[in-house]
Order: sequence, then structure tokens, then C-alpha cells
Amino acid sequence: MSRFIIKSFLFLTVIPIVVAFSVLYNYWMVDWKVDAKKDVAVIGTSVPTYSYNVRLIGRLANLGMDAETYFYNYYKLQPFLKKNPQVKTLLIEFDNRVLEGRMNDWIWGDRWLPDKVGKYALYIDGAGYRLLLKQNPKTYKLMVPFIKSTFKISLKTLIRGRFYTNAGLGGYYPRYQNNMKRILSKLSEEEKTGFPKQEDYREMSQVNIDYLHKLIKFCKLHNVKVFLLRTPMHKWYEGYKYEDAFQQFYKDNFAGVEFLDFKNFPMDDSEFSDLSHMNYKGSERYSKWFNSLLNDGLLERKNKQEFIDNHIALLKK
Amino acid sequence: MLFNSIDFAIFLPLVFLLYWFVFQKNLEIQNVFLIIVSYIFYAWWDWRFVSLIILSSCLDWYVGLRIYNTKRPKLKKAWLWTSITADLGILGFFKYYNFFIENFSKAFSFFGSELNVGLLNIILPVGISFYTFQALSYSIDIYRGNLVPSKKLIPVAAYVAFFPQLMAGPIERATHLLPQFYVKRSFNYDNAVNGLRQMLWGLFKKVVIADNCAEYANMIFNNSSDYSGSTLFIGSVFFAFQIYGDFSGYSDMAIGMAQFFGFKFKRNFAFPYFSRDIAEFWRRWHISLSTWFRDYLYIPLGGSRAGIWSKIRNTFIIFLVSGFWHGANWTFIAWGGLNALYFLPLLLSKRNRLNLGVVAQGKLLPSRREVWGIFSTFILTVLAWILFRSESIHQAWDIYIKVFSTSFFTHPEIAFSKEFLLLSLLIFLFMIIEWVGREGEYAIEYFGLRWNRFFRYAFYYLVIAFIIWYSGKELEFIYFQF
Repeated sequence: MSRFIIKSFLFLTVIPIVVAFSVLYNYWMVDWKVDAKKDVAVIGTSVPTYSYNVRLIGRLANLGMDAETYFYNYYKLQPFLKKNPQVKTLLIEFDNRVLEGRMNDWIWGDRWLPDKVGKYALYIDGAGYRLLLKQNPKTYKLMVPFIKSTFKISLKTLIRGRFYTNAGLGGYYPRYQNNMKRILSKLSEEEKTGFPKQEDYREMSQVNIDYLHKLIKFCKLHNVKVFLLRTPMHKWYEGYKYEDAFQQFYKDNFAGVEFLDFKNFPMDDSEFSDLSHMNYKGSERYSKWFNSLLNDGLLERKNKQEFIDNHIALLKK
Repeated sequence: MLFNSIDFAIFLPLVFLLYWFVFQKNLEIQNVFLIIVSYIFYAWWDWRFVSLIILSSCLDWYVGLRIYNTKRPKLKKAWLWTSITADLGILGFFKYYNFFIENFSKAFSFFGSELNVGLLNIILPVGISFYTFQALSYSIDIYRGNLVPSKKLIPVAAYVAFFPQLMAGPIERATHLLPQFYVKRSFNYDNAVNGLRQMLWGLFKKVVIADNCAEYANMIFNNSSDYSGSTLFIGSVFFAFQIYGDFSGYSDMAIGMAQFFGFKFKRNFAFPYFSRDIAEFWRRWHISLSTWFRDYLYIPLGGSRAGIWSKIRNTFIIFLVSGFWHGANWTFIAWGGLNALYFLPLLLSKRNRLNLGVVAQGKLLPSRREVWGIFSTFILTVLAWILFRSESIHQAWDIYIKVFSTSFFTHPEIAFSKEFLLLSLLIFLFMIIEWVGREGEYAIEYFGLRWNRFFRYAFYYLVIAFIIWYSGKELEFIYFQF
């Protein structure tokens, strides 16, 4: 019996050792550094991830990540800025969706928590962990997913030698599939003329909003200029039903932060992979255009939105 | 509690240590401890339904004694029917009540009259089909004179509720498992190591193979109207591996776990996808259920010894009932019916027992004829799984129409992504290991045992690495719903 227990124990001990090593290895090996000429960064959910092709936008670093809320953006940004002091401008994706109540689920729900904590375990502070533990009573269950994430990340780091990819901490990711035909065929006639307007968000994620405030405050403290930015989505995107509430919320809460709205950038169905994400074709055209705007001094101008709108109007002609 | 959950990863070592270090003093204490932990294990899902297990155990224990002590054959039979009616009554109420009401209503409305009986909002107790059948085997075997009833309730309650097989089998017979509760268990190192190995392989099947195949199978079956025949067929193949990995993985874990506690379960899967014909497949798939129906239903009906029409009738009965056992849906009944159609030609031509041994025994590769047999049986099985996985007969029909149309030859809509190719490679490697280990009880029973210790351990760590890599989904086992 004791032979069995000792041998099993020794056999299984290797696993926590590998995990501990993985965590530390990741911590030391994460390569936060981006090209020195990248002085602007964009951060947010999958929307910027699939939209801003950094190969085509010389000045931009893309930190967008699937289902990543401001909570995780906040913890990710800190080491990133520390390692990249040349980044002096941050564009934060701010669209109709980020205020929705389901963002809470993206922060502490079982679906995303293991993956996110696996990536940012060493950067989340005490307050962040307290919040996660309070909101998700099953957090102890995340042990295995956490082990899994760190193990996966370590292996990838080991293979690639550095750790700055979409599978890691964010970046541009091309989406080749186009599901629009199927999606549009399922929309009702009413939905095709726009989802019925809703005056208010039924539920909002206060935590996500609080962390957006923290994100902005952190940038200001470190002399990084912040802009909120709305990336184009398909005209029938469901979140536009909140448009009035969204605009009002911006005015009431973030009026001090400039809002760059690209919502009206003209795109056709073939340039989306679904109603909220561009595909490779769409991102390529949009990125080239966005790059030209940056090179034309968009971020240094006074009437930025007017400048954007004028360029969009030119495209529509 | 799921075997592939963190809760269980804490529960099992704790129970193991308590069982062997604290509650090992005598048989009674060992059995009582197993009953308590089994009830806790079940209550983790829903404590209210523990009462059903207790009810079933008490009832069958009492009826068993009455059957044994009664001299009059008619009274014996009456007691047996009491047990059958009560057990199947509970099962029928929880599992089939709504199905029958719904179908009766439809039938009545077809003839122009209305049946106003409301449907009930009933939860299906997990594992009810398994422990009910296990409890039934106790009464039936006593009635047949194959088993002497236990004078004490404790061993019977432990037999019905023993947690490794409580949720999804294997359905152990009283004649095999119950006597193991009569003798004090002592720890056996080799059995425990073997059990651990089998559990590891079971977990691999579930977490790596089944859960990953589930993603593709679910995506394709949930949107079946959007896909072509080729994609739907790929989805069905993924489902075939999903259900095999899921269910045989659970069985491996249950069998391995039982060895931890000094028990021996019977085998439930014997590499069914290497079967050379459908008859062999049914001797290798869910063996504990097939043999249950064979012994308690098919043979009493006359089996295959009767005339041709009786053979046909009995075959249909056993397959249809077996299908219906899986769930209250016409799809399962149709799945049973289709398998009966597959099986009958073999039975009627007396070719159903051609392939009794292990395929290509002692050889590295199968013969061409065996390859053809394995391939054609697999395709037939995949086609039958379409019925099993579909939500309705209507959906299954639509899928069949597409699979048997020219759209089968179109390019599949699903992207051949890195994940898809990796999963296909994993399935391929998995099947190779299964092939290599097909002469054992489970694939890795002897796999690597002769290797140098370093390589052997490296293999086990590789399996663990895959499990960790793909873990975290904690998807329920398919057979929990049955």
C-alpha cells in the first residue's frame, strides 16, 4: 500500500513541478517588446484583433484579443507599456457591445476565465483576484484549466522562442471564413432593416466600465494619450439597437476622452466574416485606409472626427 | 460528480485513503463506507434522487428474500413481478411518462379526439437506467436460482449504489459483483496500478478524443440544415469517435477505479470499431447491456433457437427495446430498428458467429478481407449513429437524404484548420494504439510494459500532457442522459 502511495505521489509530483516551472518560464520569457517604430497601440476584444492588420499599419501595435474585457486589458497593458516606452498613444475599442451585461461573463464566467487567468495570472493584482473569487464561487475548479493554459503557453513559448502572438497576448489575426451568406439568410426582414431600437441597455457590466476608467487613468498617469475608438461593423449588427443609449452613455461618462468613430466606413458583405467581425479582405482594405489616416496626422489634428468623416465621405463618392 | 472534474479529483484520493486506512477494519465497515461515499457522489448531482436508489435497493433486497423463502412457484413469480413492476415503474415514470403522453395525444388527435393530460416537468435522474437494471438482475437471478439472496441489506445497497458504476455502468450482474461485497477487500498493488493505468486511458479517451470530436459533431449536427452531405458524413464520423471515447472512456475509468477498491468489474467494450461484422460489433459494444438483454429478454423469448419468424420477432424486440432504453425518442427506437435490419441477414444466414475471436490475432496487420469487414462495419455503424445523434426522425431523414445525394461528393464546408488536422491525427494515433493493444482488456494494458522505464513513463506523461492540454471543458458524459 505505502509503495503504491509513494510511487503515485512521486509520479504525480512531476505535474505541479512542471506547472510551477511553466508559470515562471512564461513570466521570464514573455516578450512584450514590439517594434520601436510602433508608437500607437490598439487594445480591446476580437473586433480590433480581426480588423487592424499591423503589417499594413506601420505605427500600430495590436493588443486585441478574443473576448477580452477591459478588466484583462488593464492588467495586460501595464507590463506592455513598461517594456514599450515608445508607445505614447492608446486606442481603446469602445463599441456598442462593451457595455453589455454579458461582459461580466467574459470576465469571470467559466467559459473564458481559465484561459484569461492562465495568460495573466502573474499580472493580476490582489483586487483583481478578490473580484474573480467573489464572483465565481467555482474558481477552485479553475486549477486544471489554469494548469492547462500555463502548460500550453509554455510549450508554445518553447517552440516559438518568444511569446507575442494572437494565441498569446493579443495581436492581429486574419479571419478567412465568410459566414455572411448563412447569417444573412437567417435574419428576418425586420432585422434587415435594423434591430428594434432599445432605449437602454437592459443590463450593463459595471465592472467592465470601472476597469475602463482605471485603464484611462493608468494611461494618463503614464503620459499616454488615450482615445476611444469604434471599429466598423456590419450595418445590421445587432448591437446598434443600443445606439442612442450608447451615445448618451459616452457623453455622460467619458466625454473627457476623445471618441474616434469609424462606424460609417463603407464595407460590403464580402468583407465581413460575421456581423461584428471583418474578414481578411475587409481588414486589409480598412487597415490600408486607417494607415493613411494615421500618416496624415489623424491623432495630432484638432477636429479628428470631422477629418474621419470627410475621408469616409470621399470613399462613398 | 463527473469523473473528469476537479471535484472528483479531490473526492477519489480522499475516499481511497479513508477506505484503506480508516475504514478497512472489517467487511461491514468497508461496505457501509462505500454506501455513504456512493450516496455523496450521487447527491453531488442532486441529493433528492438518492432516495430513489435507497428505495430500489430496499425493495429488491426485500423482494429477493421473499422470492427465495417462498416455496409456491406462483407466489415466487408474483414477487418477481412486484420487483419488475416497481423498478420499471420508477424508470418508466421518470424517463418515459412524457414520451407516452405526447404520443398518445398525437394518436388521439389523429383520430379526431383530444386527450387532455398535461406533460410533467420531470428531471431524469442520472444513471436511473443503469442502477434499475442492476437492481432487477438481483431479483431475476434469485428467481432463477442463480443467486442466494443476501440476508443483510448492506451488501445489496452497496451493490446497487457502488459509485464507479452508478452513473453510467457497466451494468454489473448481481451474480458477479454482489459476492465481492461478501468478502473483506485487501489491497493489491498490481491491481491498483493496473486500475490507475486503465483510468488514465479512459480519461484520455474522454477528454482528448470524445470532447474534441464533440465540438465538430455538435457544430455539424446542430446546424445540419446548413451543411452538405460530405460535411454531415464527417460530422457523423466524429460522433462515432465521440460516443466511443465518451462511453468506453467512462467504462474504463469505472473498471479501473473499482480495482482501486479491490473489486473486479466485467469488461464493457472490446474494441468495437475493429469488428468485422455487425454481429461482432454488438458483442463488443456496451457488452453489459447487450448481455443483459440477451439473458433476461432474448433467451426467455426463445432466442435464435425458435423458428424463422420467432427469430425475426425476437431480434426486432431486443434491438427496439435496447434502442428505447437509451431514451424516450423515436430516433433511438429507429436506431435499434436499423441495427436489427443490419443484424438479421447475418442471423438468418447463420453467419452471426463467424467472428468470435480477436481480429488478426497474433498478427501485426489484418488481412484484406478483414480490412474490408472492419471498414464496411464501421460505415454501417456511422450511418446508424446519425439516427442516434439526431434530435428527431425528421432531422435524421434530412441528413440521410443529403448523405445519399450528390452533395456527398462536394467539398465539405468545414475548414481544414490546424485544429481539425491535429484532431484527425490524434484519432489516427489513438486507433493505432487501440489496434496494438486489442488483445488486452484495454488498449494500454500491456502497452510499453516491456519498455525501458524511462520510455514507459515518458509515454504516461505524454498521455497526461494531452489530457491537460485538452482539459477544462468538463463536458458531461453522453450516457448520463440515459
